[in-house]
Amino acid sequence: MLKIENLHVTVGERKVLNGLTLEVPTGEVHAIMGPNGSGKSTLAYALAGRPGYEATQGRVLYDGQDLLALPAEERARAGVFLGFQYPVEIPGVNNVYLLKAALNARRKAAGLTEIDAFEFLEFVRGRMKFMQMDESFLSRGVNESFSGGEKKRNEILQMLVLEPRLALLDETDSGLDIDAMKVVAQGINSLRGPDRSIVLVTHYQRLLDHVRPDRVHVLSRGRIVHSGGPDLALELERRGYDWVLEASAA
Amino acid sequence: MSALARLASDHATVAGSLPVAVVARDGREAALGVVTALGLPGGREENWRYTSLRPLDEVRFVPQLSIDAASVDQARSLLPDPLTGFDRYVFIDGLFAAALSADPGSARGVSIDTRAPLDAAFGQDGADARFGALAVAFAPEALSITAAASATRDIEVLFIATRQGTESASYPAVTIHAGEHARLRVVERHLGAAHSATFSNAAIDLQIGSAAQVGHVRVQQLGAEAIHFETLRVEIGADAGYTLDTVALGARSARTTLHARLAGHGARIGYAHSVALADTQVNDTYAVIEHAAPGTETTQDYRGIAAGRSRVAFNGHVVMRSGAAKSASQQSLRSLLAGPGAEADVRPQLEIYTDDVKASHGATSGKLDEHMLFYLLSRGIERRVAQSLLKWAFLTGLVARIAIPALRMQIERAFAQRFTGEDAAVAQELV
Repeated sequence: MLKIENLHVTVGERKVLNGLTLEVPTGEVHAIMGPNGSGKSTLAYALAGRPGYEATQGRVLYDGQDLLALPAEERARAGVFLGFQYPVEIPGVNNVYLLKAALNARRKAAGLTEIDAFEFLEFVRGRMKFMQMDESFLSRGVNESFSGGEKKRNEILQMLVLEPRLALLDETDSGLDIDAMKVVAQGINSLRGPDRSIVLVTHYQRLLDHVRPDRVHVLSRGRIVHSGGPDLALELERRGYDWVLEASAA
Repeated sequence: MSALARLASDHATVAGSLPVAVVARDGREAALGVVTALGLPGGREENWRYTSLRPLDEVRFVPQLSIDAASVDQARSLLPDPLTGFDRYVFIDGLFAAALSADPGSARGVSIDTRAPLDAAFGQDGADARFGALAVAFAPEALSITAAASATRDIEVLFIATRQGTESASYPAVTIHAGEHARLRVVERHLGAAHSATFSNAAIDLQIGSAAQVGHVRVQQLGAEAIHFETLRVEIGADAGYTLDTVALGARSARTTLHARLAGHGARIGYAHSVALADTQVNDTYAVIEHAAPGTETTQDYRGIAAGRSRVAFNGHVVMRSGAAKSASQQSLRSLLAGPGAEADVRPQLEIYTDDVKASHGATSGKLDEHMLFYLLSRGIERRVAQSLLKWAFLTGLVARIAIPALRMQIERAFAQRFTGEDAAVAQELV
């Protein structure tokens, strides 16, 4: 599904990713962990096509196609979804409009007709119930005056509506209390399937208690320095990152 | 003939016919004297740099003194749907039109007078004396709304301009007194036919008593060739709250001069101003908010969007006097350029004469928010659509807090009509 080879990314003058290589097979959930400033969010942004995140070397293949050649909106329509660490507020554009426009853009790209308004509302309401969100949310501005937890739930709701092939979730667990964490984890787990891949960027292991990854990777100074199975996350929680970084430097 | 000379000769022509009940003869002469002594403003004056003053050379200053049937018909065709629960007062070219009004007169502790006296000194101590004095010199009528203590009422005032500015002028004038603990909501609208070239000069005077609450929504939708000036004076008493929501879409050239004084302890003003222009329109505002008592608060938000070769300007001047300890002011002024030849100038200005105040301001001119744009793109929304959405969001952000849903809907529809091409399709879906 996702194959990243020797990726170098510069943000402004700063080189953040320095030859990152990673493969996420279809159907798997991978966690990217690492200390602050290691390049985790940069990786998520670079894959989603954020302007200013310039790939200077390497390549990224998504289902065999050159992902970096596509503008952000085409990546999304091709099934790539970024769950933001800090979702932006857009007062004046309501959630229902955004969800519908985004879904129809995705359907159009897949050669499907636009969803009719009634069918769409039924579809969204079902997913909102699953995410334990109040219906009044639909008429509110995108993320407008949402709490941190509500914003994260909204990211997962969007993901459930758009049903991406590749979900990149950037610190979706930050700022969540334990109940919200469970709801968000349930949302992520519901999307797991043989034809999708999920990349969880996270700082802590606690989300991984609820969403068990197939692989865990440690990112440091812009490269993957260590990879392992799901137990690696527990070990990192217990021992910190230093031993991995020392071993990789040796 | 210069504009100033025409002003004097127009006044001489009409002075004998102007009602003395509104302003006494000597009051009008004195006001005319103020204008002629100061002269009409010029582009070299700092506070008038952005106003288009050339159109004054083309207009007549004489007011209309009676309404004819054709004007009534035109005005009727421009009336928006009434707002439920609001009493309606309609003025045509500055004159009260009883036939188009829903006028219960004085009721519920609020007295109404459509030919009330106008303060002869109006505007002369304000941010700029001249256009206030011009109104005093010529206004044939003035509406007064006086709320007794604890009275509550919702009132809609519509000023419809029908006559060409080359023929005559319109002088909308309103005086509002809110007694202690009174609650008033006033919707004030200035309307004209789509392409009309009217000339109007409004004078709006508010005195808000202690602990009163006044919600004032002002909407300017004059014709595309109209020339419009307006002067507002607001005095806010102790623990009183005044919200002013202004929306401006019309006129070739419009200028607002506001002077609000937070006179009593704990007085508050929440001022939001949204402007959407196209073609070669100009809209310029000079707003002075003066904190003259302790514990007073200002929040001020401006959103101006300039398409085509239009020009938006907003100068938000906040003064904290020495007696204004523990006062706070927050200004957020933003403009957006949406046309290749468009111009914007937004300036927050702070003048502080005391310690122990909080004042913050931010001003941005320019492009759409990159974070918001990327967020929408990352959801697969086409770039052009995302840009339209953000323009819409920019413009309607302040209107969203107008707590009269039917009016908000009317304003949003008017905004949507202002959008063209791709933007219009998106706006229609969002209304």
